[in-house]
Amino acid sequence: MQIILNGLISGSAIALLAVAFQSVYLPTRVFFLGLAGVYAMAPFIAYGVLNSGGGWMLAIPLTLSLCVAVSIACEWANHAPLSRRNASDGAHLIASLGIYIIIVQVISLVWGNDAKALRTGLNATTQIATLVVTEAQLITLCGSTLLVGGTALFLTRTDLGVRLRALADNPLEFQLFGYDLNSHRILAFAMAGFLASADSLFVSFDVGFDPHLGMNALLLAVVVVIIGGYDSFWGPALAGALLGILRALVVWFLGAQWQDATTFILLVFFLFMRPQGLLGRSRRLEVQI
Amino acid sequence: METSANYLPRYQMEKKPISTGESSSRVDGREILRARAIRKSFGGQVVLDGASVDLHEGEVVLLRGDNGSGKTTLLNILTGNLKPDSGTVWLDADGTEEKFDFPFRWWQTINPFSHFSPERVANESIGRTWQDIRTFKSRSVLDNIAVATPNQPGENPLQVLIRNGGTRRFEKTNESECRELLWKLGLKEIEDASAERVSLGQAKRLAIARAVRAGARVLFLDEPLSGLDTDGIDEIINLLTALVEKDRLTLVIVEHVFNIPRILRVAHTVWTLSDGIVQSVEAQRILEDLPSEFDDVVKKLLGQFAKPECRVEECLLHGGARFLRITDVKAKPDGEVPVLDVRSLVIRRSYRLVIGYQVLDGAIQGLSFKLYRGDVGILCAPNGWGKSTLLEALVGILPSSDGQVFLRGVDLHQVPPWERVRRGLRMLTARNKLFPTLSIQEYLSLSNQPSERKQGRLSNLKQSIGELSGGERQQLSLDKLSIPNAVTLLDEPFLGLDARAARHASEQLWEATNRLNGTLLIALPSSPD
Amino acid sequence: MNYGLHLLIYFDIYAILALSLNLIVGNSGLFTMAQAAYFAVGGYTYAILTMNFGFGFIPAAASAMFVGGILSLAVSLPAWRFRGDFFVLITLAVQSLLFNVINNWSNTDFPPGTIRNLTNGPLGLAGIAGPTIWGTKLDTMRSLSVLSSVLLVICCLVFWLLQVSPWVRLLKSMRDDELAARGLGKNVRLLKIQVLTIGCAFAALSGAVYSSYVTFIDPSIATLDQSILLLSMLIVGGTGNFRGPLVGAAVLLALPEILRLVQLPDWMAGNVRLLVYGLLLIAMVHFRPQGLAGEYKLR
Repeated sequence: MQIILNGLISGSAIALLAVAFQSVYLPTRVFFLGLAGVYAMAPFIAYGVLNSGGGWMLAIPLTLSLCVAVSIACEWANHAPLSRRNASDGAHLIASLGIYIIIVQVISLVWGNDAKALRTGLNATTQIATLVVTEAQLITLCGSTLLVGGTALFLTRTDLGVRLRALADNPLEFQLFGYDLNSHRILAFAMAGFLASADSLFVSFDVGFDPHLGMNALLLAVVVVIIGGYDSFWGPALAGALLGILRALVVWFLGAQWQDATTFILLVFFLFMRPQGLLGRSRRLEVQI
Repeated sequence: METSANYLPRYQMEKKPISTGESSSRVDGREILRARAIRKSFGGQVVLDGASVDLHEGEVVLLRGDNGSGKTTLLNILTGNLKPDSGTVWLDADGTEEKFDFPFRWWQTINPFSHFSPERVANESIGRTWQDIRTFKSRSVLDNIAVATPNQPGENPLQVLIRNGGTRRFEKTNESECRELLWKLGLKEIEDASAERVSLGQAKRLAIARAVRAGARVLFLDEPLSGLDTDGIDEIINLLTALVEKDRLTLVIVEHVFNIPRILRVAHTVWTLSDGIVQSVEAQRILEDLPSEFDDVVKKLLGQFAKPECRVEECLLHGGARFLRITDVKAKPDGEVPVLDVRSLVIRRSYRLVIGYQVLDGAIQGLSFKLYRGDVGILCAPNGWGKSTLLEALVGILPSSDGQVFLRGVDLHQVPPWERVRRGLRMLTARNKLFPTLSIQEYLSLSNQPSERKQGRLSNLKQSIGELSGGERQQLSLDKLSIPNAVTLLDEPFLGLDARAARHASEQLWEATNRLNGTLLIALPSSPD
Repeated sequence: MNYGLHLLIYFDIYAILALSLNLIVGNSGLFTMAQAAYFAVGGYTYAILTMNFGFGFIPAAASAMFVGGILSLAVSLPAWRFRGDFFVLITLAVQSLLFNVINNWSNTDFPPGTIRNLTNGPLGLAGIAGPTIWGTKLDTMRSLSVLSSVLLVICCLVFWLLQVSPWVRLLKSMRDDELAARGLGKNVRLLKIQVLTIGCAFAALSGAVYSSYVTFIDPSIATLDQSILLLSMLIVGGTGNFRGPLVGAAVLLALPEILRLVQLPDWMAGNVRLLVYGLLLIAMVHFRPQGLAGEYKLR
């Protein structure tokens, strides 16, 4: 039971990152791999602030705003010009990859390649019934749930959120309603940066960080997006939680090295058996008509 | 399922002699394709409901039906691009029989060597062309044909490495045969040109040649005549006739209502798809109810808008299109700035010239017209002429290559679409999917417009738009007309509407011009004659 | 002199690798990010076979190619179903998976190269013997460079024959419009398997050569960073033709040398190199999609 709880907590972090990725993919159809760079840089900024004497009250807002700024810069300087040229998916992808590399290398140059931690000392624990939860885990679980729920509310209850969904459904008609395509895209990227950096802070606070964990985390999130349904919102959120639980179980019963293998097998299974994902609607990803 | 049967014009009686296609050849030819009880639905909507067809060698079939009737679906099924939900397909075009029973058993679906696929069906000598042509754009015209040759040893990498001499020899023969084929088709001058740059007519002939080179004995053609001018149409018809007469090919031609007269002159049978089933009739019978002119809808519209004090100006455009301007002569101050002023507009899509035409000395002549406040402009052009392209360029979605567009005197160059909309230019696209995941309530809040109570399903505000039918969605989007002083571009606004919805739409159009001072530009399909 | 030979051998290795990736990416449009993993597979296979079973160069390299070819199914089967970005993601996942397998298949209680400890994990395999061809041990730099250059020439011949063949014409047609190609009766599934198998096999070959030269191999050659480096090599050099990959390999090698000239401190060198690649990637995509010497414009 403890394992399932642990899995649920790590799964919630995956789910949040998946939602962040979808925030860009759904409205713009851009595979924002640069988000892995944003994810990677967040804990380092916090680390830098904390180390220079600033407290959490400064670190968190500064980190979040810088990450949002970088995300927006990615769209403004990179993806928007490419989209205007009707660039292929491949072009977006490669450029995105370039951004990721640059961010990671800059981080390495400034802070070095080693793993670091955002907190010192032991983790405070709480006990609920027979289950043990650490402080960091609690933050992750509550934070992720709040943010995913908050995003859902934003998308359904606010005008801006409805507009983003409309953009995702039909970018052409969206423009024909008189809404500015470019500014809404920037909003989508900003949202992604915000959610991803928050997620990164949660995870780094729990288990530490190094410059290279961004891509791994993002890949896991993308797997979750495919399994959950690449055109749905709750699908990836649900799949994230489930995958987290599955991975925790695998670690317990088979060992840590089997985590990725099982994830891959699960991905392949879904791709062949149910390509639209758990909660996806539209037709398959195949090269059909 | 929505049908627009009432939207079709009354056919007029016309007798035309059959120039080719002796009925006897259809009876003689052996059966090469049979489909029984084909059913297919998409997301709850039944498109094909037990359709059955027979095809004989040497037969020329016209497959017709309203937009959305399932012609393309049936075409896709018979060419292996789509699996039906149930039914049977039986093929024997090249001497080997093949039978496909649907639905597939579970062990057939997970079998990675899929039993029913385009390449599988192509190996049964069934070929097809596409509405959007789909040549291999980065290859030369010659390569497009050369790649189609079946059973090339050079397409096996091992053969290339081990038996290089043999593969090179085969390739040389292949190339010379392909050059000959291109010469026969009159495509010799462009054989080394990139397939991206050839004209529409040449590309269509290339696509047919490619399918024939691949060994097709049965050719399914998806709207082969769309977008062509009279010469281009004649070329294609001649090509197809030659293929049937000389090479004994079998043809199934899907065509839009407006090009049907041309096809009917060479067809033996007509398959009419409506309500999900196919009715097969001899072509001769259909010839008797042929319309010679299709502008019933235009006449209706003219009747509505044109009052005694209105003037109707008509001018002929290139490519068989007509532009009518209905304008209210009185109360027009002198020197009034046109609300929409289009000057020498030229639009290209990749390399193809879509709007604008080439005059004798090679210069490009662009499209020009003016609309004043309260005018109704009607652009009547055949399928593939570029109506949607023109409207999309006017609203800013597509860039124009040359020329200018002025909205109330302001140059719209490089103004993004949403900015044009804010300045009063609106557009209603054809077959608009709107926002499928939004509910009607969310849609209404998005459009920021007051709207009267809707009827039927539209009154349920929680309903998601994706569940509405095409006609209901069109009704929702016609709300755009209720903005005063707007210039609205409408792309085939009556498409997919039944009589009641079409009437309602016409009323909204009338309101827009008369009460709300709007200006309209309506694009409608027409026949090439 | 030796330094020049060292550069030559490295150029040969990376040129073969670039050509193998170009065969896939430049012709079929299948964007694989897993090529470094297959490079590593080749290297490890060669190492294990020569260390534990005393294989000579030719049988070991051939086996490496064979293993690489078989494992290419991990990317070619998904290629049947997925287009574009989703396919890239699968290859990223395969890359990640293979890296984890290489990094984790270890058990210090057992000798390296055995079933329980196939790769020796992060410690890597050391002391790989230099290549032996028909009994003669090649242990001078000169002989090694001759071997690698001969291999490069053979590979160039192979890739050139393929590049001008109807097979590649069909691949490019498939990239233009897969559905139209299928409509002509072409077996695109087989095509995808063919191109990925050959590409991955040759990547494994270059890994074997690497292994035989460096005599030490560890999981760091199988990281995502390496795959990205390879991709940069192609994007910068250009794809779709024969010259591009070679130019790309040359640039990839020249860069660290240039950095050395600028006297960058060692600890920074690796990062700056990758940083420059990242910048080059973005620059190429935005300003010169055909690369320095390529034919296909990645628009």
